[in-house]
Amino acid sequence: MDEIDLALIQALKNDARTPFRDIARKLKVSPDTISNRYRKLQKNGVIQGSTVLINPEKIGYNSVIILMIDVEPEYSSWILNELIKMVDIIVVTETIGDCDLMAIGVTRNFEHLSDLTLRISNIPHIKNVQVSFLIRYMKIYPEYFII
Amino acid sequence: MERIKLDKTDIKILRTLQRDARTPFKNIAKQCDTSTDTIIRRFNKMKKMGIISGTIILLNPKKLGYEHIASFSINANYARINEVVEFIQEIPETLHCVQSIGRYNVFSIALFKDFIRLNEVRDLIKRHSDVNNVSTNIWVGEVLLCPENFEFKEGT
Repeated sequence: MDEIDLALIQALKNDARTPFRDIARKLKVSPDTISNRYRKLQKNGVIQGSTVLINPEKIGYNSVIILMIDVEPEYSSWILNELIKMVDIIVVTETIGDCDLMAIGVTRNFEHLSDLTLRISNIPHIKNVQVSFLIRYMKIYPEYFII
Repeated sequence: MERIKLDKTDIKILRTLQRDARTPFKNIAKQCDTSTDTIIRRFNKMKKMGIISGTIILLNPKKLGYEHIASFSINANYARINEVVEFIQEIPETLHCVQSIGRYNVFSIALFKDFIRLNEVRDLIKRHSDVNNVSTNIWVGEVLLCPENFEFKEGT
């Protein structure tokens, strides 16, 4: 990756909809160069996609929650996939540390939270679920994520 | 908390951009059977109202030299929580750091180029005078991300 790739990434990190034409002008290259570089970065897996940052508070959610989950090891992958299918679970990952899986979710109210944790606890082969609430949200999607 | 009403078009815009934030507004307009101007206006309105806080590209940290993603769940002296959060936010590897309620009262996510640096940062946090306890979880394997799991109820 060269300075053009890095500058392209930088421009899109702040606003994924920045027109290639504008980036090209700023970097003094042709728009085609930028669009080729973008395609190449996608092909190489550097850029995994793009998304819109939504403020959960504004659409009726009142909490972002972190779930630390212990599972029977052989079922880890399967449970991971069951979790990401659940509405209101945004991110899941396997971890090494004090728990086996971590998930980030959003809830509307305590009843909803209760329902969500119950649904999760009912997934077979889950041993334990620990929930924390985040105060003063972070962005739901940090810039870096492997999809 | 104010409830903002979203209609079919707003939801279509959000769902489409969740999957690909670079989708031309013209394409969304066609799908909604409306004008491009309407879509632009709705998008800007949602930005102004704070529903949308921006658009970002999703990057693979491994391709950019970051070997590890880790989260720290921290138990800090409650009276000094803001100081601890600020301290962690100052660490360059930190992506996010916020207060939490639960077994731990601070939560943070960070990216590391190598394990040595991960350990250094973990140590740094542990040695802070207002930190009681640190639980480190290294995110391994695939991080599954599903933005579409945000539910928008029409008229909500």
